Amino acid sequence: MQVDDLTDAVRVRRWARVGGKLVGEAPSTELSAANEATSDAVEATLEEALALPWVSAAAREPHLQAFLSVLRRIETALEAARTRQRALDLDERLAGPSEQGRVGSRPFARDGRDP
Amino acid sequence: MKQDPDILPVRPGRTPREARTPTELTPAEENELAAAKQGKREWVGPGVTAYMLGITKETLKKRRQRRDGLVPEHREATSNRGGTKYRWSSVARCAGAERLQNDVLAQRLEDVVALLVKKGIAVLGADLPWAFDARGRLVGLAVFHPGLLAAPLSVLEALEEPWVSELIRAPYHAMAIEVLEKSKAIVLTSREKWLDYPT
Repeated sequence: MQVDDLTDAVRVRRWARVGGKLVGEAPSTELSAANEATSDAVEATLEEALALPWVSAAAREPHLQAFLSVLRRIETALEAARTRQRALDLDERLAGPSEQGRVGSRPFARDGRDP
Repeated sequence: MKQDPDILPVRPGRTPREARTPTELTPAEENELAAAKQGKREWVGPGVTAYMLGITKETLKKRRQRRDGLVPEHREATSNRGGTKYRWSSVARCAGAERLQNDVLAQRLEDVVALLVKKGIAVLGADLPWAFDARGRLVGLAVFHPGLLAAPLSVLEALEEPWVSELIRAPYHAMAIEVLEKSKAIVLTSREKWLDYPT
């Protein structure tokens, strides 16, 4: 199973059940037929489906790994964005206050040494 | 108090008009909205835009002119007849962001963050109105910065943008990480339950 991104991960899917336990995702091409024929099917997001009973750990595992992989990718992207922001903050501090549109003041001007 | 039968309840010669709420659509605007929803219109007028955002046309106009708050992508009027037009895709995003913001409206940032965490992983992809400063840097959720221009972005999109500082960005970053951790905990805890099943 492949889950591309967050949108894909939170998309509501149709899951096939046997004896009240999930066996996997119902094929999308057979959705309408599945509606008619498979009375024991359930609609859920991947996260919700993973919290339901499965026929076996082996049937569940690929779905779990696909979901965890999306979470890892999001976390990596968030950490990268935080690193970029820290670099931006540092650049601004090094560039000085005038770079940020503030009016520059002469050093020591505020402690009475400026004539 | 009994009403004097000689005094008419409405001014003579004028038929009483049905009360209309400020955001109610005219028949023409209803058609415009239906066409936009079917993908037949790329640009819509202020009536439809205000209706989608749940505000009055006046409020929308003030926001646009003052560059204050959530304003969908628009093009200025080219004639008195045409009026300002708003891009439908942007209107739809702004409307979703406005709704979610109203849903999690709270006084303190911590409360808003806690409410967002409760919504689960889907909240990371949901649009919210974010305020920008004059340099185009994010300063936080628009609800806390009413004097600034805002744009609809998902939480993940917002965290990819440049912020005024890492300190200001930190609570939103922490919220996203907490949502991810909770989601991971849900699916991993569930796995423990099914380990006993035959493979």
